[in-house]
Amino acid sequence: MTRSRTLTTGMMLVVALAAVLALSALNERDASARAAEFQHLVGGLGMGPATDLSGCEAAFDSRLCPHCAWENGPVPGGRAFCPSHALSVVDYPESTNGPVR
Amino acid sequence: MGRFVEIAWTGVDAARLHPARSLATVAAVLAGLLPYLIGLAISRGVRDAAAESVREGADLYVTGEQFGRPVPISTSATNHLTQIPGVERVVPRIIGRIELGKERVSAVVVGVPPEEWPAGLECVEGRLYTGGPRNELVIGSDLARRLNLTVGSLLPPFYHSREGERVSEVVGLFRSDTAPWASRVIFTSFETAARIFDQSGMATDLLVYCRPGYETEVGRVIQRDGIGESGPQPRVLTRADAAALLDEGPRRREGVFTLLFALAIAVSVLVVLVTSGFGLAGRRRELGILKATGWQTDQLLLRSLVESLVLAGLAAALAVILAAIWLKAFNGYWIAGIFLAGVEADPGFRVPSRLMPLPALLATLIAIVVVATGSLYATWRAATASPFEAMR
Repeated sequence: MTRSRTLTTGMMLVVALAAVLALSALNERDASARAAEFQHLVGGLGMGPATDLSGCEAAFDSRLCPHCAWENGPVPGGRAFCPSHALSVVDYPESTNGPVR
Repeated sequence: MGRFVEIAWTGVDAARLHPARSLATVAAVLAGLLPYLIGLAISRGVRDAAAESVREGADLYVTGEQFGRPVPISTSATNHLTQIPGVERVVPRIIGRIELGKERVSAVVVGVPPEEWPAGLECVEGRLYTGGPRNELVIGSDLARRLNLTVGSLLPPFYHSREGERVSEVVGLFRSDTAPWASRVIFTSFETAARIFDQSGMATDLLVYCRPGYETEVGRVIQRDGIGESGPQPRVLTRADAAALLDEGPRRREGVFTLLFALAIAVSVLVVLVTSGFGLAGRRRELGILKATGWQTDQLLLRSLVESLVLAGLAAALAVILAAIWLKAFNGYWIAGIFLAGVEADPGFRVPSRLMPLPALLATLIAIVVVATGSLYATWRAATASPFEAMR
């Protein structure tokens, strides 16, 4: 009896797990359609972890500004002076596509 | 085979017999796994949202550069670029920062000339701006919440312009689940944005839409010929360049994140070691009694392995479920601010997140390794000692 209860609990856990993942995927589909509309309207805006331009512009959208304005490169660990680059789990390298000299 | 299964079941029983120990082990693993899964889910969510931004954006982004820094460019460059073979249309855009309200809330003004907008937009509550002389604004959900604005709200002049200041009307709101970058946006016409910044005839970037297959060539021509007589040096970023950044960056950061997580997991192993044997006299005594009643070392190890698998599976499953609940039901309350800089404890937008099967699977494997490493060694130490010593 106890073992069958253990098995049932285990199966319920697996079902809950599958339900959580499936519902998560369904929600994403609706949000993705709205995100596509927004991006179409504004011509593509935002790539990084920042939600405004008050900190690092590159962390908001590296297409607007390729360099991190807060980076103190020569200082060891200088990149960590920018909170968007030091603490975020999302980061982009600098775009190297510059003007032709 | 039946004997093997019976021994395995005693492992399940062992997990149930010591609820405090099992709970401590699951909690130790959960403490490492949960932030790991949430961090990767947010990273993946932001990357997906950014991919949408690149996909729906322009083919080329042309900005000006002087002294190694981005500068605005004249809208007269639009005519110059339109004449390049392969270019379908060029849209000037203004993107700038302003502060609003007593709390000086930072907002991102996006000015784009009005077009034939598609009907029935789902991302906007209300309507989009028209091209008239009035300042009509569509604002982001976070901005609306902080400034207590709704559709129809009127904003007194918040800028100084040589053309004179005007009252602005909020005609629409971006829904909170649109995109993280929409939350602080003030979306308006190009003319209104130019008035707000008092920069007539200037744009921060030009969005170039090309015929299929012409993107690279048009980009080369712009970089070679420039964007007009006295314009600044152009910087051109193609959609492919942006997509490449998208692939490279988050993967690198996720790698660093996984490395840090491995350190956290090392601590979990020590906790499991303590809870499963080293620091638990009862556990050693139990193994000593089993050994004295005829159990072999390999049987004790099998029992411990099954116990570890049960606890690790439970910890990993709980980690995935709790991560999903935290991100979806509580919108990443507090924890989103850790992984996304500048985001407050209660985010004013739908935090993008996506729990992928691979990190969940990886989390399960890591949980098994952690719990098994912690408990098997302790079990082996107790099982190889004499029963008398173990029971003392």
